[in-house]
Amino acid sequence: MLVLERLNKTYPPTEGQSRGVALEPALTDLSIDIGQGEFFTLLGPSGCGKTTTLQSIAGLEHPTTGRITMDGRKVFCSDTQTVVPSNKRKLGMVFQSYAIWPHMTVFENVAFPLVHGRGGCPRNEVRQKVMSALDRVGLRDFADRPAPYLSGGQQQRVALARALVDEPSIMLLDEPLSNLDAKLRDSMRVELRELVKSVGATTIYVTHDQTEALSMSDRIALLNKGRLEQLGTPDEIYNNPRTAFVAQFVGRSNILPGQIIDVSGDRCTIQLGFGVVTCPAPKLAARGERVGLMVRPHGIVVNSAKSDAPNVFTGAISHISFTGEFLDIQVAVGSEVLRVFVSSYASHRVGEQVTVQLPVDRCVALPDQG
Amino acid sequence: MTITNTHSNSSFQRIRSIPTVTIVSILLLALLLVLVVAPLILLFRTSLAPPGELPFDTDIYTLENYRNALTNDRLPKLIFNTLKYAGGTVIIGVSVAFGIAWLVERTDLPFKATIRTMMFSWMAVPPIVMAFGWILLGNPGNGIFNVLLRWMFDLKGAVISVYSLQAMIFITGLAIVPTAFTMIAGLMRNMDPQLESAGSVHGAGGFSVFRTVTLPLLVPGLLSVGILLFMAMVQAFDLPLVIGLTAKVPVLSTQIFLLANSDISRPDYSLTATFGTFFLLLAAILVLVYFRTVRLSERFRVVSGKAFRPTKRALGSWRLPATCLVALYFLIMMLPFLVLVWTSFLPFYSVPSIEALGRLTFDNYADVFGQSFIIRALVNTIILVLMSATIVMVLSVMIAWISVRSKGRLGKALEVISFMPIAIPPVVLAIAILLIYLRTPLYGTIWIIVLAHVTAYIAFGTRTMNAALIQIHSELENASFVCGAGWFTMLRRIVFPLLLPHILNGWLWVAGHSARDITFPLFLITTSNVVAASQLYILWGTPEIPTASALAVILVGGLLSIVIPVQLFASRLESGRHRKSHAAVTKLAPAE
Repeated sequence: MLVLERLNKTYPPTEGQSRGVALEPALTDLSIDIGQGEFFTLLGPSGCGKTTTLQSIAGLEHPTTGRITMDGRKVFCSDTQTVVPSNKRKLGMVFQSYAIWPHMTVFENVAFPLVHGRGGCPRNEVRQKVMSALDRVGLRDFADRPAPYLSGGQQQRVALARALVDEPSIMLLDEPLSNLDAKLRDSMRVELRELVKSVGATTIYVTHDQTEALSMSDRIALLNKGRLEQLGTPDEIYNNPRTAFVAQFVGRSNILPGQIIDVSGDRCTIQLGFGVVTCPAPKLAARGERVGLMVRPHGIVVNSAKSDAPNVFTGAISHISFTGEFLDIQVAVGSEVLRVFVSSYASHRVGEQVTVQLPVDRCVALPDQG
Repeated sequence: MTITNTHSNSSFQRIRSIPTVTIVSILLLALLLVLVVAPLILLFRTSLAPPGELPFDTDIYTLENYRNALTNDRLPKLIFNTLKYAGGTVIIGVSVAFGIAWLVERTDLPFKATIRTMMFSWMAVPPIVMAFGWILLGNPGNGIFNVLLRWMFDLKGAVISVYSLQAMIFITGLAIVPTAFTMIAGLMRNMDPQLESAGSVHGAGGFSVFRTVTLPLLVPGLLSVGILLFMAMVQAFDLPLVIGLTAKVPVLSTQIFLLANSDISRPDYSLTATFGTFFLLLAAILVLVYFRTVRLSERFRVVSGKAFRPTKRALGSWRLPATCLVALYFLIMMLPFLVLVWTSFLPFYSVPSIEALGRLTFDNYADVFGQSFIIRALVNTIILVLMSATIVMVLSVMIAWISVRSKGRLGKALEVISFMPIAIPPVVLAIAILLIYLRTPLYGTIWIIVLAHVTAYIAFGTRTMNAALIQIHSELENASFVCGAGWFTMLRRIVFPLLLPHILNGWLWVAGHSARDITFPLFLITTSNVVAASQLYILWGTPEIPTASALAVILVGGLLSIVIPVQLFASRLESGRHRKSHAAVTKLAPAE
């Protein structure tokens, strides 16, 4: 539905930067194909290019090279010099700051796309459409209120209503939850997803918050330094990260350096600093290859009842911190320190000898990047 | 920005359309080139023409004018006078303004709002009106001060005279206090009081905090205010014209006027253009110095962007004397205007006395409204003020948007060219405009003055709009694009309403300056485009002093009746919006 092909973006040097310095591109060969009605998230740390990508889709920035197609309509193409301006792309967008115009009422804000936008909306339909959009976000009673007299959460809803009112086929959401307080953010996650899903719009969601990305998305594109690091469902991204960057950015992880010493079928054996573990073999695994073994802190089983299970090691607890929801403990195994989350109802003490089990299907061998 | 929009029906057939912003940018650039650059080129060309010739009539290039000008033994004296006049006024103006600004911003002085309003309203009093008032007060013959002093101390002759360089410096110095006050008060308001608190917490006393923390922090800012005013004063024309010519203290600007409006021979435009080129050079050097200082003061920036309430020092027993001093300043400023009001009700000028009270009359006002040429001057003034202020602000908003928001070369070029007029002394610009339009139908109409004022004030307009636009989150504009609005709709529905308080203030400034300016109306004068300010000058020279006084009072009254309400409206609009959108603004600020 929305296709990005080989987008590249390099910003011109700003004043004060010396000319000779090679510029780090903001986007490098980014290609993504987003399906109709999909809730698609661009995830990454700040400066990874996710906002640049979104702005390029919105037409507020233009890639240096590449092509963007919406519903079969070419809106940007560097080869043919095609640029469809923002106001002709038929989009809905919620900005990070919400961009609610302070000199207008809620009604005027929401009616703007109908009145000044692509046109074709008869006057008598404006009121009805605006009210139904406000209804969807639960702000029907606020229509005549001046925009500055709204709380952050209400402003965000107005921004949503404004984006939805003209029934765009593509919705762009730029970190819409980042300005809300933590409680409101939790409840808005579900609501937001259901709202855009009920409209049936294809949604591009930009965030640096992994929880939002994992809980809301159909698919996630994780970007790093302008490159696509991994593309997949939340489950794939979380449980099968392809690189150490993905593993560290999404969720917490232990990454232990090692070397593949044997590959048999879909399993491989890895020599770590403190012993040998078995784990699912990565694609194109070769004996002798240096890898990082990733296992999530809560994937590790402490003092497993099954003593004959594979990947069991003995270590001593070197540090415990109580976080409320779980115990965050560090277990020294050989020369490595493993971070393990266990139930906060378990009782452990520093110095205690424990066994740690790294269940085979929870281990992921990552290509070594050092 | 090279945005193009292509609808390709097949791979080889393309129709390109260029976006509105690019078209507008190109049009604006072309307009600015015609307004600003073309006159300067012609000025330079004229200075290279043979003496006494116009560039249209000759194709000879010669340096003879420069030789004549440089060997002129009055040139050093002229430059010396100019610098002395500018330097003196700035020292007086900045010192007085600094004192009042400090009292208003950092102490518990009473009547702060009144002082601020009066300072702003002073814009409505044209310097030429001030000058006339001072002449009535201090001329060597029947000036009120002299009459009074002679009577009190039984003296003979002229005790004091307004016709001297010193008096000129004193009068102009007091007259620029309101401008300096606005800028210096801004500096002080934006200074983080924590810096001073840190000084006193670490053991420094009140005065040593002022000496070691406050003053050093303010110096770079004060310096840039000083240089900016110095620039303006080097270019000043009205007071040196009205007082300086009688006092026989010519400065560069008045000398250029004399050359272009010689009574004895036909105007020597090529020599005038040569002097203009020199003057331009001097002003350009000052602008460069100004930018250096501004860049320097950026390093000392004490504006943290946080909202804070500066601590106010209690004046204690100094409260009354301080209030009296400020009141004295306003009294001195009011005197010349009061004397004009007095004169405007008399059949002929005389020193205030009980006996003169009997002669009070409204005849002068009847005269002003009864004579067709004065009516025409008033109508011309209204057209001039409304048109130039409106055109300047509309152009400024567009230019500022393009130069702030678009990163392309066009935006940069627009920014630079729109700022250039700040380095062009009004007299020089007037001469250049005169030369270029002398033989067009535009010459002799009020529109040539409108055009001149648009050129002269566009720099101010774009600067203030730039500064205002930077404070607006660009997402507010982007949101309207994404909603499907075009560029003009965005400007009309988003930028204009959001900037309205700033636009109104800028509009007022331009309107006020356009009404009070006498440079362009005098240089470009013909019988049909006289405005109130130039009519005033003519009446004064005739001399019909009571009628001139009445016209001056009407001019000031008219300006005040626009300036005060609009200013109050703008500040109420702004403060109301601030209160309302406080939550919104704190939300908008950290994004990016």
